[in-house]
Amino acid sequence: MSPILKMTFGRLALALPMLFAVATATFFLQQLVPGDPGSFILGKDATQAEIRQFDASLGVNRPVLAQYSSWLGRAIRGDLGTSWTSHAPVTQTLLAAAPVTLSLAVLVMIVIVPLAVVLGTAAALNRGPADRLLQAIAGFAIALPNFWIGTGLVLLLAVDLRVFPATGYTGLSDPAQWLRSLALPVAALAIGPMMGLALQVRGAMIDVLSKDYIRSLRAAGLPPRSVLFKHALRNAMPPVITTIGFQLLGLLAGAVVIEQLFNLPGIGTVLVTSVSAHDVPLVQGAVLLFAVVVVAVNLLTDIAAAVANPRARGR
Amino acid sequence: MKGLRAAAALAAAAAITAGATACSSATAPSAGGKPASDAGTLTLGAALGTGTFNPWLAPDGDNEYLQLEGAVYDSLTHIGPAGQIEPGLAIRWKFTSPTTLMLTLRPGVTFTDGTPVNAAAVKANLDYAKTASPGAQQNTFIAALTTSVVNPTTVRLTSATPEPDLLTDFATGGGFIVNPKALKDPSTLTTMPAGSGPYVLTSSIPGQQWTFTRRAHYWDAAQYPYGMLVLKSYASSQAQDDALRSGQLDGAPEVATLVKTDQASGLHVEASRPEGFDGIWLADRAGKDVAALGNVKVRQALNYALDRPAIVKALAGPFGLPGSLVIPPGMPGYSQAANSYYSYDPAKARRLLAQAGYPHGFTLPVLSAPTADTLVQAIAGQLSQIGVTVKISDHTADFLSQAYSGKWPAIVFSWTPIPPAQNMYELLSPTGLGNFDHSTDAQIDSLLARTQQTQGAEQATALTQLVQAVNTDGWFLLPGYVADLYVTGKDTTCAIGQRAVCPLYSFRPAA
Repeated sequence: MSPILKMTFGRLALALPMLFAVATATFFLQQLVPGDPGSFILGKDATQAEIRQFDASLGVNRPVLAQYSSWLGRAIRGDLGTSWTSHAPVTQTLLAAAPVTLSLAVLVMIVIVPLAVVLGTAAALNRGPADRLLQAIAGFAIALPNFWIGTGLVLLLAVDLRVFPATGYTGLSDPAQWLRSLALPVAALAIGPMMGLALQVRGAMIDVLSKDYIRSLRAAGLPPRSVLFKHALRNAMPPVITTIGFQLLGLLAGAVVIEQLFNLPGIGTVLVTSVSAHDVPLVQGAVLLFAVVVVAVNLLTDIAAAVANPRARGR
Repeated sequence: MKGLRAAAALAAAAAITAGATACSSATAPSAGGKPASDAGTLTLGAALGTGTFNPWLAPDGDNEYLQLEGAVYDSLTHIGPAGQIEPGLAIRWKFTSPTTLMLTLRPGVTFTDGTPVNAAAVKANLDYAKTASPGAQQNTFIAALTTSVVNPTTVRLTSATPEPDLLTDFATGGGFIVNPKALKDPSTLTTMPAGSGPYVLTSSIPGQQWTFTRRAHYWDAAQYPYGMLVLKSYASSQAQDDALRSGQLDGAPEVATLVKTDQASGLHVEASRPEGFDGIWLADRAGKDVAALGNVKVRQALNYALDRPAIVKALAGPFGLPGSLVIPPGMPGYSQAANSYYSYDPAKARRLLAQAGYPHGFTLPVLSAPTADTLVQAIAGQLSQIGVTVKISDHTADFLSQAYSGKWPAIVFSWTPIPPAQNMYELLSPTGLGNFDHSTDAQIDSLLARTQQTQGAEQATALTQLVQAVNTDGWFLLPGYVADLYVTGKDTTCAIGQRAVCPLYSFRPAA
């Protein structure tokens, strides 16, 4: 078995108990939320008898362990229950929302990775005013909250200039409108992480370029382009890949805010509205989905780092 | 149920008072079925959540769901801009006794599948509504009704007690008539409507967007000039406002804090009459937990310490009215003299506190919710000027259970007192929804009983006395009344009247 395959199976074996722990913790934390769902969902006009009947129909008046075992049994079979507010299956709701958040994440990555590599490498190679300018801009951009950037972009490019839509999401069936609808949210999410990643690339490249073997390669007469792309950049990549993984996970948290700002019907919006509506099955489903994504991103990051750096395969 | 019930309730009450021989009937059917020219697409924003096309499961009362349901369903009645009841599916009505209402239905109306909209369909809906959604207002008021089919176009509704607000309820979420065939499996209505309304659903992304096209040969087509209607759901009022100002939306409900920017952008702002109020209920008037509240002078001192015009101006701008009464101006029970009882007078407030034995103030715990914190903090800031420290505790999921727990001396609350008599009973009676600690008071309970046992001018007098007594006794800390706001784009107009949102039939292209 190849080292990478072995490492993948090892990580997956660890992922299962972690997902179980997250699912269990989510379920029991939800039990700590004060108030009963009946009085919250039915509102002030409902009688106590109606509230009791509603709670009974949801099964929330059963012992907590009985609720947990039946929820876990269904979750293992892929059935995350039914939303208390929309009465739609939770899996169906999450699957409908996932493409939006996935589109955001993929587009942000497509934007930030190449740009950060180019900017970071250019700064590492030109340690002068350009480098200092990059650091100054990066420090400023990282400090700006993404919702502030998003609000500014909406005011300028949607409300004043009307170049992009202020809100809403168009599906991939219309690729041009899909890109247009996501342009501002992607920009709002990408600017900070991109500059952070550029600084990481810059630091890693400066470190690698100062190594003895790079000087040896140059002394041996290898073309500068070959030294840069085949040797320096490749060896600078492992810490950059790890940072990309962190950035991607950070994007999920950022997406919760940005989806609200741009009225995008993604997982973040589902999470926020389900929490507000006290819709426990939907909250549990959304949190579990986030946990799966975190596990998947970490696994992909490890695989990518192992491919880029053979020494990482045994870790 | 929101503001519009006032005029309608009064009209209906007047009809009942006049006796069974007099009748309240509609003047004439609406504009008619002549197809209007196509004004294009009307795109509206609203907080519709996941949406449902089962009007009996939609959030109750006068709210944004009326646009979603009103697109595909006809309601039994409509409400005009001045609050008057107008014909919908019902073209005539008559209270034959205080507990019996006869409805005459519009002939020739059909659901989209050709099924006739007749008395049997109305009965099927009202019978289904009784069990459809526990707690929902549109089902609660129907619970005590018995519906009988007199003939295919006549329905008789009988209730155990007088229900003067029925005709208003039928226009505000309680009168959308669904095809009885769909009621056999109501789950289909979550995403697929089955109505007789002005539009048919052509596509939808549940929870995000619903697109409709106008029905050919609709009986009231002249009221719906737009060939296509798009409703978009928004969870954030800021995002909705951005969409309005960027031209993505032709109309949407608005919050007062964003209206100024909308006006500067040239958008039209529609405001209802200020009727609803948010405030603080001083529940511990027995002084059980906060001894100071047991003294009427202290409760009056708190009221004198409020600079109501300043608070209302800060929170609602020009769309609010200052006032301390639980009945807004223009309603039976309101009196200008009573409303000016608590003029802003911090010096008098300090004197009253000193006379009550609290010259250095006291601490007042208030049960609040995050959405009300701006108001509570404004009140707290002014009370601090007389030495009273407000300790705010925010609750969301368990707010109602906390409010009814009897543990809180003061509770933030929101109310729309329309129709006045019914709402005063719900607010003040020991079993009322708004009387969080089920408190009793001999004088108030006696006045309250009179408001329920009388009608017309006598009832108005009783209401005035009741509201004045509650005000003088310092039951509440109310800064004033706020309007519902609706904003439309430069190319669109609508009429909100006394509604919470503009009804679909009021939208027109701007001249």
